[in-house]
Amino acid sequence: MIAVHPVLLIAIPLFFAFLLPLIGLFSKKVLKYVVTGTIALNTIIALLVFREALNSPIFDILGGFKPPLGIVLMVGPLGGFIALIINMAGLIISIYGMEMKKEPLVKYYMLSLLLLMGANGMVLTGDLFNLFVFLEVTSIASYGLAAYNKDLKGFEGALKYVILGSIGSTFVLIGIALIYSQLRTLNMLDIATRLNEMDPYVKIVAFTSLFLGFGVEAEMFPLNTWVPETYDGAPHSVSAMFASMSAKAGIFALARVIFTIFAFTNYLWFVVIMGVLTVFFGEIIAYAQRDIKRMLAYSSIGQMGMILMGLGIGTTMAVEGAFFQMFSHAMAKALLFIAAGYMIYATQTEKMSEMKGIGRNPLIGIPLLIGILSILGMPPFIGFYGKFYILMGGFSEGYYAIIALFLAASLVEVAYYARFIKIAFEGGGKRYPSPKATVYIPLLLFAVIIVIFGVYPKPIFEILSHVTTFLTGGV
Amino acid sequence: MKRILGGVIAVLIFIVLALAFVHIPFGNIDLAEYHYYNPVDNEHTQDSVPQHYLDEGKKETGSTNIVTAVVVDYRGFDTLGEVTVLFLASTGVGSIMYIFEKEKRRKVRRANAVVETASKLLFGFIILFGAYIFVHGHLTPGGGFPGGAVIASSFLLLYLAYPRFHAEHKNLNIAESLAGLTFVGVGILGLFLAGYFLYNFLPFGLPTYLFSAGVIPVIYVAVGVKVGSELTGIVDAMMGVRE
Repeated sequence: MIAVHPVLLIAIPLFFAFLLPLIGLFSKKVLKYVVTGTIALNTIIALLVFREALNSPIFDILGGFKPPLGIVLMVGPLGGFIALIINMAGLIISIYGMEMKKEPLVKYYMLSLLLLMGANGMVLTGDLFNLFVFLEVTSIASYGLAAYNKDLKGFEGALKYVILGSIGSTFVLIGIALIYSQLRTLNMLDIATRLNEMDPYVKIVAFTSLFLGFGVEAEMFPLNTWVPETYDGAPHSVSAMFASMSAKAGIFALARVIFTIFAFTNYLWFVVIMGVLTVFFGEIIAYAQRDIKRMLAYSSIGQMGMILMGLGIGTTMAVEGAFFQMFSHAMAKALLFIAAGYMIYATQTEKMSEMKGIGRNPLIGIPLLIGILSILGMPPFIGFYGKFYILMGGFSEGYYAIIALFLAASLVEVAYYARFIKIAFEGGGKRYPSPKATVYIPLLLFAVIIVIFGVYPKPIFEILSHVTTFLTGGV
Repeated sequence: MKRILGGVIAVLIFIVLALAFVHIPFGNIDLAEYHYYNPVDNEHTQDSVPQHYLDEGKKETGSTNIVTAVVVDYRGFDTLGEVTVLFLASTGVGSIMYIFEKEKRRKVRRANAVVETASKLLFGFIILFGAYIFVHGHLTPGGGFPGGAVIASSFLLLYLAYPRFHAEHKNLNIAESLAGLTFVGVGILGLFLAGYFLYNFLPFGLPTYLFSAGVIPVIYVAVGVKVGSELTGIVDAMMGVRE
């Protein structure tokens, strides 16, 4: 018997998303507290599920039908970990989301709850078609949120995202159709055990379709042209959600496809090359940006590319690094987007050159610095371990050319972030309005997490020791 | 140049996929080689999933319509997700099409008397037909999604016949919320009663009768109401009527 059902992580946000319009009829003021309360409840459940999943993988059978017949949720230690990260980031971002003033608020809160629900579902599910359904939920919620500002930039970003996202979903569906038509099953582990029965050509086409489809959500080159416009045009809290929730769910789904379903254990040159290209183009274009949110968006592409590289190298160490990087990027990039939201609000511009001295207020400056240093991979912060392990993973296998490119891209990253730090901490700027509690509390929370697990990463490494089973096709 | 490149890529993708689809059988194939793996109990079975649905579906779900058995019972969780997708689409359209002030009413021409009278007469019958489709979802072809679409089409008819008509958005929202809550509520109830989310906890009754198949009709009525009100809401939002 299962003590905590992982399905609650999906059912609770869904229930409250349906309830919000009714609550909104009576009072619009309580909505934000309801949403934050719901996500807080979800985070607690995620913690319980994660604790249980550490002992043994949880299978939550839905509808009472055994797996190949019905749908099952499959939560291993890593899935529980990613779900916990997503819910935790969602909780902290929802504190910042209380700031939101633009109508229609009911719809904003509904969409953000459903984005959380979709991301949770993508991480927890053990069924390939169910994964597609949750991919749809996540991406359609994202389209709505991306256009929420209802200005030209928002529409441009959302439209690009709609087009690329729909093509991606179509490819996922084709991949699933090919697999089902040959194996007559949709359960991930069932597929994995019987993969050899598939026609080799169909298998390759199916894998490529799934890889391309989830690559859109995971911001892989060259399917990531939606990223800068969408992140730039979306409300600030939504950009943070994209970076820390939907992108993480997408890359975890990709990892599932690679390791759980197709059980690749060795070096995947295809994935590594895509990863390197993603890192390289992301970082170099980020260097050329003048607007803060666009720079962060391109930097986000670069970071996702690093995760992809780690997955592609495929040794235990590199994949551990990739998972660590997912954690650190979710925290640090959400922090930076929230900080960017405040900075754009305070300076009334997106241009970095006009943000002189914005970081001199310690409530903004300290978290900002911590976030940037963590993204750059400085030792006492969590960003260090992810990058280091990916590098070491590549190094021990002797992929020197890839390592060199990776390091070069990291140097570029240092250059543009350092440029921004210089502007932000320069003296002689204007006086800016001091941040509200809803801004600095999430910033400080993220910063505290980054520092604590940066100084004391042992618990994370204990979780990541389960990567070995994950790589050999286990949950 | 761009067009040529696009064309070449499209042709390439077509060839690659066509070569893959050549290998795919349609319909059920020889089952001798199948052994299914159940990861929860870690056991292998000789059963085939599609054949199992056909052979045992009626017994295990009580639904006469096997498609419904698969959609609402075996893979009910997917349907919950699909309902959510539609809900999201309607919410997203509502949020993007949101208008702050009442727009000046456009000058509209009335439809002629034949259209107005006929649509008034047909409105009730179309709704009745839509309700019939989703109420009998477990017995006859159809179900919540087509039934809801039929209901929405009756409202669409009114929009076409009476240019000034608009459905009360508040009521639509209440209807879709209550229907969604019913679906999730049934799921959670199953979790508490039997330990499985979306478990079919009501008695199955006799197949082919209206009151049979346990929770399937309940879910399908909820889906029908939800789809109907959501599609109507989308039409309404597209017309630019303020909430």
